[in-house]
Amino acid sequence: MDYNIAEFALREVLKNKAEYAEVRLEETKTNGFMMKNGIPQISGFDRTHGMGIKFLLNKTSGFLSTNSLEKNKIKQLIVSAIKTAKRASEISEKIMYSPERISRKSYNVKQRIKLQDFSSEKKLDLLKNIDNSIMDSKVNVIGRYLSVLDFETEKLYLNSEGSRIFSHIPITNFTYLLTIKSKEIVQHYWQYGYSGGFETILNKNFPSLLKKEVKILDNVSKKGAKAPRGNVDLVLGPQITGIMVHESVGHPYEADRILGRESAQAGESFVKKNMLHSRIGSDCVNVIDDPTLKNGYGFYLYDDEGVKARPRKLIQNGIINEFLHNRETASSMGIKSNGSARAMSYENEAIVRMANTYMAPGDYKENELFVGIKLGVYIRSFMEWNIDDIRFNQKYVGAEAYLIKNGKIGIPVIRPVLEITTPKLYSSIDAVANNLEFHAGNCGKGEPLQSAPVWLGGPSVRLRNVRLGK
Amino acid sequence: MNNADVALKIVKEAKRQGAQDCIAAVEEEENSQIKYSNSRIVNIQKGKSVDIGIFLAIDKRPVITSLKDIKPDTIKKTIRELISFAKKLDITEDYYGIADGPFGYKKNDSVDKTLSHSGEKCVDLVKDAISISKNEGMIKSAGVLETVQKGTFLATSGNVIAQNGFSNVYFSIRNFSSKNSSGHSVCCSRRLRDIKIKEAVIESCSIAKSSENPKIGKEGMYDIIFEPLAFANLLENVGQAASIFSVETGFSWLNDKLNKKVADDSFTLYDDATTKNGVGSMKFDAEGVSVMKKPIIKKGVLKNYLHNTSTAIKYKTKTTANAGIISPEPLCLVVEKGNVNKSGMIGGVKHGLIITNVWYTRFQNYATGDFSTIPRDGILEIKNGKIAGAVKGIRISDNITRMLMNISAIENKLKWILGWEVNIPILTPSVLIKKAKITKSVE
Repeated sequence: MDYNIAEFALREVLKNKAEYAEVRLEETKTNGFMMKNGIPQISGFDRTHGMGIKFLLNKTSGFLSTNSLEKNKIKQLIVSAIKTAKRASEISEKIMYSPERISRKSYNVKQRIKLQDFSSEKKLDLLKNIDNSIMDSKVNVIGRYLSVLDFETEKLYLNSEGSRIFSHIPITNFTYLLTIKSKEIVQHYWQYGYSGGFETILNKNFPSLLKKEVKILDNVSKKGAKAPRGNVDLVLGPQITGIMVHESVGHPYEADRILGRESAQAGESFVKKNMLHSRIGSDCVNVIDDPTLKNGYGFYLYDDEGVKARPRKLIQNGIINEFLHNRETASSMGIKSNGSARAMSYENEAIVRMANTYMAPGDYKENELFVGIKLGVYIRSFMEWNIDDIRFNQKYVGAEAYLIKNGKIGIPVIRPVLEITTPKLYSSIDAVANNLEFHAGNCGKGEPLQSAPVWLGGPSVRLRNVRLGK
Repeated sequence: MNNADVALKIVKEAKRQGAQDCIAAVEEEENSQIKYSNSRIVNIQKGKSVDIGIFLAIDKRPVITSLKDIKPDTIKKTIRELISFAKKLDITEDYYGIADGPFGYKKNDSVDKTLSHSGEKCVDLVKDAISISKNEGMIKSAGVLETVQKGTFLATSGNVIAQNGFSNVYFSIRNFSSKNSSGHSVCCSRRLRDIKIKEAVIESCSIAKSSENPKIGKEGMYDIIFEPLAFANLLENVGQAASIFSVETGFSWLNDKLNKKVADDSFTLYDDATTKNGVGSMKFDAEGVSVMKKPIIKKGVLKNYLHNTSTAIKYKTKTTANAGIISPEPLCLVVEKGNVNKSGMIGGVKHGLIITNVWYTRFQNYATGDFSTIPRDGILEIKNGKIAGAVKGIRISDNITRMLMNISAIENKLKWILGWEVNIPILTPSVLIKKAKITKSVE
């Protein structure tokens, strides 16, 4: 990486009278492989690099990016952006940043099996093994889309306050969509993602996992009964808990939404500033967002404003405890940033994002949650979900689900639908199990849309007396 | 070397090193964005990039990469690496090559060359939009004004040497007339001087004002008028589902539906990037085939899947000029306009809703088309042919084929839509869909 060009850009912005500047110089190497119904498809590798520059001029925020790293081109772009920012300052939001510690740090994520050492033949072999294993199941899987992707990003961050941070983060991902012709056509789409070497993918034994998965979905389709409707008790497995806390805890606690910065598209939040320290759920609900989790798909140690990352305790014992902040929102609320600024590429501005959001595990074993339920449903996985733009009104539709009768798991049920408001959801939880799992997601936010790798985590939880809909 | 020389050199070098097929695309782009919220500008952005994409195939092994710089040594080295990478792969049995040119292209569409130095002008336009909104009584406005100017040079081993210029301006505004009532509108054009910002601002204000004091909606079956911004969100999914790649991988409900009925007789949807100076117009697809107008759905019948040369050979048909780098994709969707005006549409509804915007469209099953989507911004209730107030807190939970089959009226006016969840330019009217299912959350 050309450190000198980054320093040059930083100096150049300041020369143009910016009161603050920061530079992100990035290089990303990507490898992608895809298999469609047993046939390898187009594969590729990519090497991208570029620079993103953020500045404040007359307290007006500006951002520019380029992959042409010649000095004269960078200079021209800075001059042009500064000119626009000057004009914008007539009606701009006057932005301040929270004062933060200056950091000088270099870190990288350890890889037991380095991405570059795991050959393309081996990656394709992995996809072939998974596909063969699915076909061995004897289930009629009519559509099999499998992909394995890895990328590693080297990033140099510097700002005009003196911070200098270098990071090297490798990421792996395995994604699939399975279409099964059983009693009816059923589908499941899912992905796994990690930071680390290729061992993160190999450890999961996907051939066996997906073979099991298609057998389960076939069984649900063949033997599934209609899901009960009306008010029942529910047990939601870790996959549902994970998406749930991401959508209706993580997102509404993003301070930029609360302050209205993203209101045009990503939306606002039903959570208001004055709701901090008020009750949102039952005592057993604890939700954390932690960028520093080992192997987390959303892993980082310093955010894209150079602030040291730490776990953010969003809900503690059912009480709203903390919002997600970057330096701008923190300053606006008179506190310090908790290191939530992320940009998905050098071409994007850093905005408030989640990293690895999860519900903290409780003391129950999963099977203890079923005890005492006369009539209920256990939803283990899902396909369709969505939530409104203030994060209040959400829907999860089960893919793998079972009836619970007199404390025991019974026959499979088809597509139970939970449509529920956020306060009702979190106040209905009366028990949390200890089977914490993490799954991967791509979280969309920002304009232009930035897709951030995140972990969605949680254990199984029990909800009392909630409505299952149509 | 200029961009044309770079593309030609890449193709020559790839062939020299043994590739049978090669596509090189050199794309230079300049973009800008003014972002505003709470009626203040919160960020200005500018970007400049040069991207060089390479596709090649050797012995039925297709691979892709991009180039970091255009030094002759780098080109040679990258192609060497890519060919060595390809040789280690298995054969892609269903790869059948790229298009054989040359092709004739339509004349250049207009390109707004003023965009690269229009930053201050864009600030002034946003300032005006905020000011109009305030005068209309809005409590806050949010959105973006974006510009893109792009030049692409394409060379292929199939005798294609082609060049395309493109520019686009996109304005989006969400206006709030109170805490609980908002309206969203967008507009787009190829040139800055053609952008109709004032119309979009007024429309968003009007939706916001008419949706004040919304009550919680009720579950049930409704006749729904989807305004262009809302319908475009669903149409993008239809366009994606028509790609043969989506059909083969299970991301589509259109499998085995060719020449079968998938929508009401009144509904015709084209993929058409040929319109002169149209928002999404271009000359050629990613392998250099001249773009063409083709129906995806004609009078309710699925007429075409979207193909590139390779998939077309596989299915014994002709390419529809929809090649993307990896798979066929829609370029620009156009709905054939109907013969009803908006007030006529409203007048014909006894128990219904007007949906002005949706988001978060998600499928329970791509293969069957079961999905849900969430209306946002103004949702108006219609009772006995008249608007009778606003509602909130509802969800459309239905099936895409069933809804397209239930189209009962199509407006006689079209609007260009681009948006946060609408990445392909779409020209669409409002449509009336009978008996769509509305659900809601329980508190």
